[in-house]
Amino acid sequence: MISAPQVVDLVLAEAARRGRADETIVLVTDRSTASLRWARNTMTTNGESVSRETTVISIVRQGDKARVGAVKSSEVDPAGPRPPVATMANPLVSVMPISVASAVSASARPTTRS
Amino acid sequence: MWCYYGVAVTALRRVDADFLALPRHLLAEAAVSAALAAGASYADLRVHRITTEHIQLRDGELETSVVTREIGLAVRVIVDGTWGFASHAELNPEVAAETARRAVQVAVALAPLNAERIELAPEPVYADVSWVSPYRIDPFEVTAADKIALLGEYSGRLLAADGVDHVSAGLQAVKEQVFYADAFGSSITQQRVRVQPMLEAVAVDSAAGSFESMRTLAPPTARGWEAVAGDEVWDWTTELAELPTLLAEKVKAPSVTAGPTDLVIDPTNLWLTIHESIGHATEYDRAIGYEAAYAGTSFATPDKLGTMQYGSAIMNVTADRTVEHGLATIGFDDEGVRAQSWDLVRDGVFVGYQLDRVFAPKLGVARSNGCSYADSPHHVPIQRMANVSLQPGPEELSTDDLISRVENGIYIVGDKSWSIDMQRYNFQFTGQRFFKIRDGKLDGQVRDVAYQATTTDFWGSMEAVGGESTWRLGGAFNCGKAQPGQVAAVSHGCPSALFRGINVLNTRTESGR
Repeated sequence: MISAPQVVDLVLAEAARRGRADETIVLVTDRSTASLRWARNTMTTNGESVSRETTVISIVRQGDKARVGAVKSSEVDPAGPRPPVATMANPLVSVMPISVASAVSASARPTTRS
Repeated sequence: MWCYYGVAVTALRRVDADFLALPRHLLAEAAVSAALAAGASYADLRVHRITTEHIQLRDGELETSVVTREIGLAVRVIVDGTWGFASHAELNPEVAAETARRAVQVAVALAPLNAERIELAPEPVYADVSWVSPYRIDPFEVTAADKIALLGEYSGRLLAADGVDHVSAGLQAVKEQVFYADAFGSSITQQRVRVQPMLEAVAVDSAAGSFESMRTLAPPTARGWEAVAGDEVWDWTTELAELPTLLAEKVKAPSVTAGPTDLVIDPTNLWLTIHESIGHATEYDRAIGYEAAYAGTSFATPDKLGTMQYGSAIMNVTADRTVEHGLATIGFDDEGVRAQSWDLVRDGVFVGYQLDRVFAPKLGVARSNGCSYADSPHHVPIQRMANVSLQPGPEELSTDDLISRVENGIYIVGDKSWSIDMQRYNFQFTGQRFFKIRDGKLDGQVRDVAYQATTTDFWGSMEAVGGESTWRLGGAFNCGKAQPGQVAAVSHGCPSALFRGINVLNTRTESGR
């Protein structure tokens, strides 16, 4: 995997090349986790994981209003079949409606029901 | 509807080319061979990509628009009877092999904690097969602008009506792609799509300081954009036209009189009662105490299998992963087990559980019924819910036929809140719309209704079920389970049904208002 700062640099460079957003925010979260479950006096499930989440938020200003787009991805290979940089440096700003002035709620997972 | 390439292709679409372009088989070969070389007796690899779009509008203005894509590989191994699991975000063969070796290390390190040797139920090998869910329009081929515009237009219709003060509109769209391969030789590529559109109208009484709301009844479904735009799948024109009037009636409706009441419950409400009181109760891991997260354990323990009267003799409940457009419908589960359909309750008697390849031998049955699922490449597959559905009756009874049998009762439509204990036994549910039944006919709405019962009393009071024409699929995207927490989408089909003497609560009185 390329480093997190490299991801930030790549996304910002791509955003600048496209030149459509007034502001671009890039968040890269690298995460390593381990889990172990226990029930009925025995281990039930376990696991280790290595993951990365990259979030790109683009803001286009229009007077006192703004348009906001956000994309989140866990893809890590910029040479893959869907390069994350190319995909993510062009979030929804190009297609959002005009009269939108709102914050982006980047909730990846819905609440659960039991 | 599901298919094997090379045998019969009936799906409307194929797996996306960019997912097929991933080095799936190289990753599988690298992971499985590395695991076996490191001492594993079994290994499987899953490449999992989930794309989710969430859009939310408030009064026609955009609040949220987020696209999320998750991708990675997961390796599961068995070493000397102990599980090991590891995952990684990077998709290349060297990482796959190293992840497999990490999974083996996990299994070896944790073996002293394992008191029960893992055995997998046998399953035929499915080599190089593929399955795609049926949908017509890929929601990810529709621009966000078009989606937002449609939700805005739907919101506008509601906001234009008298008595509607606010409107929330939301859409979730998901595309899930999985490649699975195991040491037995199976290699399976699958793709499925699902959407969940929802609008809610709110009426505010400023003078009283209160409000009332009503939501659309369109269910989440394993379909594409065709279920959201236009009336091809759901009659949005009628529902959006009627919703303001129904909300206005609800605002003025009298509060319900509590007490034993005959209920005709619409599929748009009954699906959730099935989910909570049958779906979770018949998950084998809960029944034997392996699982308690989010939904607790279960009163339906194995000693009751084959003998316990779950409900009345007309109660027949199936679990299946094959029903068309079901949210839990799939070609093969995350352990390579082909999708099946089976009985959970037959003629009112509890007869079946939901299983994976580990739980099948524990229960003493020869084959898993295919309920393994992981919601992420970074989560281990666990037993998850199939589409659990109440079957219609042999007689073609309509909802009106059921209502005509009630002298004094309530017809309940649409789901809302729920509460159930950790044994899936004592519950109460509310709804979206409650219509008084008087002398066999609907007689306006009432409000503040909840129904409360124990699981076996409730299903034992079911006197009649509607015919095939009343059967509908409901469901949810967000069924929660396990630690770390996982979500799964699941559908529940049911006909309208008539229940006698169910305890109705007045929620206003119960809350001290």
